[in-house]
Amino acid sequence: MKQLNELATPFATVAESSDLPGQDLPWLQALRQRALTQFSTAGLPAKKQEDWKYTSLWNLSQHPFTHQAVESTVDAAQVEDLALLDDAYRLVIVDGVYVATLSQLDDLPVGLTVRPFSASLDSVKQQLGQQVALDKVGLTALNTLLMKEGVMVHVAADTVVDKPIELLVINSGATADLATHLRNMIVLDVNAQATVVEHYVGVTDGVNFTNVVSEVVLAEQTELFHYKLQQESHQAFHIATLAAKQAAGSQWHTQNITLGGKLSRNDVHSRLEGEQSHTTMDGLYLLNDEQHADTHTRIDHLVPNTTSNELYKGVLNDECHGVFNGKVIVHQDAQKTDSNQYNHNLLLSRGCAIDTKPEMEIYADDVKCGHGSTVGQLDMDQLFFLRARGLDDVTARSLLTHAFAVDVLARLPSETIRQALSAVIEQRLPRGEKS
Amino acid sequence: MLEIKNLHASVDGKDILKGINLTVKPGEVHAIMGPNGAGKSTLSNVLAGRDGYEITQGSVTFQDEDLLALEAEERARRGVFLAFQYPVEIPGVSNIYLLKAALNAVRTHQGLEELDAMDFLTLVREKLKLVKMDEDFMYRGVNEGFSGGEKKRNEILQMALLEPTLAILDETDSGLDIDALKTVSEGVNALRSADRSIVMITHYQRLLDYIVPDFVHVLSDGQIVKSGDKELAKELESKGYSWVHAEGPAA
Amino acid sequence: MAEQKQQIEEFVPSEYSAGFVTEIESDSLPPGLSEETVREISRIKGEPEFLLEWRLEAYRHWLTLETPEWAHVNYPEIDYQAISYYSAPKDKKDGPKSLDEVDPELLRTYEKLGVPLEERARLAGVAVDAVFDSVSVANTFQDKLAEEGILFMPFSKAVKQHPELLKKYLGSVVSYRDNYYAALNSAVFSDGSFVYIPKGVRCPMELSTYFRINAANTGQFERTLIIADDDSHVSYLEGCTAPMRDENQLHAAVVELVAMDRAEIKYSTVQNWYPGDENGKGGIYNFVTKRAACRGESSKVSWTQVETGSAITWKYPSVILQGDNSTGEFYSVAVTNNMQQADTGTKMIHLGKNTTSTIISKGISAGRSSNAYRGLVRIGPNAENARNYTECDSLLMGDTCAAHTFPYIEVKNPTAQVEHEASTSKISEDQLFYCKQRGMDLEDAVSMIVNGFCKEVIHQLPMEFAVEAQNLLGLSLEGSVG
Repeated sequence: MKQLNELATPFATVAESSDLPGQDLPWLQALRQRALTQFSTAGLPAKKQEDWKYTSLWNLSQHPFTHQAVESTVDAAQVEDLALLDDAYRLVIVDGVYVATLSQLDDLPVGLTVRPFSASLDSVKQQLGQQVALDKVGLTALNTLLMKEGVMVHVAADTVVDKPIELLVINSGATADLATHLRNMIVLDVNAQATVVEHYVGVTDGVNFTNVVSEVVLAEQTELFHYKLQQESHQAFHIATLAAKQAAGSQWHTQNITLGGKLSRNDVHSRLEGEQSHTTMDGLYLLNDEQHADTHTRIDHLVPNTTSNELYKGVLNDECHGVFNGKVIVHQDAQKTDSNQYNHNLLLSRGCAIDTKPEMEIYADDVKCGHGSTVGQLDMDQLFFLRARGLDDVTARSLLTHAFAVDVLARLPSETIRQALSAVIEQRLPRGEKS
Repeated sequence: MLEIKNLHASVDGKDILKGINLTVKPGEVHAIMGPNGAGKSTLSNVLAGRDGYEITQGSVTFQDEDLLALEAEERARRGVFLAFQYPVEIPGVSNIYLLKAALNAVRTHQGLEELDAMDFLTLVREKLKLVKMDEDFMYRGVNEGFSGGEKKRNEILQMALLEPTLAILDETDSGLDIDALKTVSEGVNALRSADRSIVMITHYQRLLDYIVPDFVHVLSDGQIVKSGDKELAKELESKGYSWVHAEGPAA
Repeated sequence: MAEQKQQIEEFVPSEYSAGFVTEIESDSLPPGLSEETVREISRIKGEPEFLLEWRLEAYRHWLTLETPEWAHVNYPEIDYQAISYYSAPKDKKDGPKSLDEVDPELLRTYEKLGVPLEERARLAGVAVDAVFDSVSVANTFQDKLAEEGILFMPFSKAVKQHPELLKKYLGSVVSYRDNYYAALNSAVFSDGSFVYIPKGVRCPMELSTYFRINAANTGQFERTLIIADDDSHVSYLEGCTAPMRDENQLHAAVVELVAMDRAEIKYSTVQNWYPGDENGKGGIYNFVTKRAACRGESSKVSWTQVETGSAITWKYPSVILQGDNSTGEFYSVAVTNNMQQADTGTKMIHLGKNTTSTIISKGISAGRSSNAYRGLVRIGPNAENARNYTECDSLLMGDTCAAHTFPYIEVKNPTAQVEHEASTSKISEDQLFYCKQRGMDLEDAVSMIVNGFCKEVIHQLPMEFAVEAQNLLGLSLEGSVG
């Protein structure tokens, strides 16, 4: 554990000096104060903690970050280019700052609220911080201490949102070594339905640190399609915590695609608190160079009759390192739980490594739980078949790798989003170096 | 067109092919028969360029080129087509995508333009009729969940589309019921032409009732021990492979 | 269904049949652990200097360690000063020369446990080393084995007769630095079995050691070392029981196996230490370090275990696959009932080329017990074409027990193929009804289904053990279906 005074960035001092929103709100100040106390004691997680066994934050702790962004020059055309979806409600944050002129929030339908976090403090008061544990991970405390911007999505009861909502977070590179702490709140009231895309993009290959916490609150009978696409610079540190609480009959479908970042860490957590609730938790990490990506997922089945499906896939090339830890917990009363979890990894070159741990903790007997994990290579028979049909080696490998990777999108209902994500993945495929 | 001279090949240091000689002229249909373990599949894999086989002696010339010097895909683009004994399943890659990629690879090699989507689809529909396949199959993963017969028909469909100069059919009859065998054979017969040669590799004579060969060769212990016309196959059928062994290698 | 459940719960929990105490006089060291204790044990055993030094190094290292806490088990802190580290039946310090010299009371004990020590045991074709508390009390068939050049003897005897082999191999697979309990064992181990199979010899009979804890307040710290030289083959069986006592007793063993070129070792365990009563009172704390080194090329080590006893089981029989083309196997059935806790599994460390490992783990939890599989499959950067297949299944009986799976997979070579599958299930009411409709009673139905669930593992056991294991499974689970 790294104490505050051992960090190259004086985060505590930053908290005092920076103009964080809500200085006039006692409840928020109290929350930040608790976060400061927590972060001061716990610091950053260390490798001897089981959840951080394979990921070192040493480089993060030793890198001096700034929290003062200079003005960036991202324009509307660039935003169009970077956005995943053409036809969507869009909230754009550049270098940690909400940019109204680049966002598209004018024609929101009745029942939908999409606002920057800094302008929504009163409305998030009840639920802010309720989905994540401050004391669990130092990074959540750090985020709570310094959270400044993000998106607040609220969907009123019985509202079905007609278009996806894209949160586009751009690191322009204008400020070197910029750290941003974002907090997103997505709240669906009874019977509501929406699609939200969290999209993180780095424009240059500079160093930056994104520390984001997203909280999801799903009331009864809601359905949220939730996609996270991470395309930060290959020098970036990207830490993301995503946590949802699900009431009865709610459905959360989340896809988590990691392409960027020098070091990235995703913690994805769902709590199935109401009967007949369901989580789909899929994801892909497609890595090369010396990227390090760590995904920790956790699904808590707390009540009877809940279900979850999980599929994470990894494509690893060059000298990269992938980490996957999936935990499914079936609590004592959660009879009739039906849960499955799979993690499949493709190793494409010498020098890459994967550490995977699909865990189950089960305290109820009438359950159906399964998990599986594989590590392997492209199938030589498939490869030969394609070559015997005239495809060159590189194309054949790329084709098979693409088929392996986009499998995680199979459960995605929107054709438009699936194609958009599939295209992004295709661009990033290793061009089939021989293993 | 194809000239195999004194071909020796081994797998993991074990000699499988021990001096194959075979000449195939344009338009000819040759059947290579033999018992299990004779080296039939090794021969087809070596001709198609699969990794893992070491050529220890001999040569294979295809249209005046050294076939063995080419990668598998280069052979395919020059018109060597292998219909697999066990076609692999490739989930996630649609049949139509594979067909298009394969056809365009061949066309590009021949200096032709890639087909546009409409022309391609028209062509595929025409060929589908030949093997009595439904268009639905085109949008499923390659061979994914196909029955044995469907997989073999899919092989012949690819052959029809790619119009190879030399087609090697590896145990194409295995695992087929009589109706499927007829369909597949009709497909192959429709593709017989004066400038296309076919090498059929099979354990059983029954395929030869449907696709009648010009020549029949018996492969045993890595060598062609007997050659003749289609009557040889009938003789084999009645006397069994032990008959050839007893007679010893051909001079 | 509720009625049926009640009916099932009315079954009397099975008696632990090995729970009796043998009335025999013992020489014991007083409770307590210090350098003096270590020296005293070494003095009693008449050990050479190098061994005492090694024990003392281990003891000093142990003092620097903290109790490991990562396992999924809970128990009160152990007072290491309250344990006696040595107990032996009177006058048997040097071990008997033949069965005639063995105290008849001891022979009766083993007879009661179904362990063949008598000459009639020749029929069973099993050579036995019987370890009673801290010492070996009987060792059969030594002469016959000696004809083949096989050494099979109590550890304390091997120390005197073959110090060169011990010096070479002791601690070479499990260093005293390995973990807390291995360090403790290295400091105070009292006896155990030593096996050496010479080059090219196929051991003509099953070798077996039978461990019995009898004395109260005693810990058992035995050490087993098996060396299979080039092209040799041995199958080794191990069984364990202890009396029913209200206090917890500590068992911290170390087993080291070494397989040289093309050698094969098959190691089977049926562990039936006293598990404590239905409220969790008493029972053995079983903290065991078992590890094999496949040093030679094409060598093979196969661990098979049936774990039904102990209040707490903490053991991970592992294989280090150093030799090219070597093979490691782990077949396990772990049953927990009442308040038992098990955290068990294996480690397969692939270092050599073309190494293969298979892991089949079956966990059965009943009562208020907790049963965890913990495994590690590690493929090193130079382990070309390594293969692992893991299958890990849990069966839950009742809604108050728990089953966990913690599989670690670490791969650093792109030619590796690793496959892990796990599932959880219960005995369904449909299955039970089907069996009952066909005329079986509930106990037989459960026993049949459980044995079916464990079949792949039971099949790995030598015949005599397989029968014992099957009976044990039925007994351990009696009264647990709900």
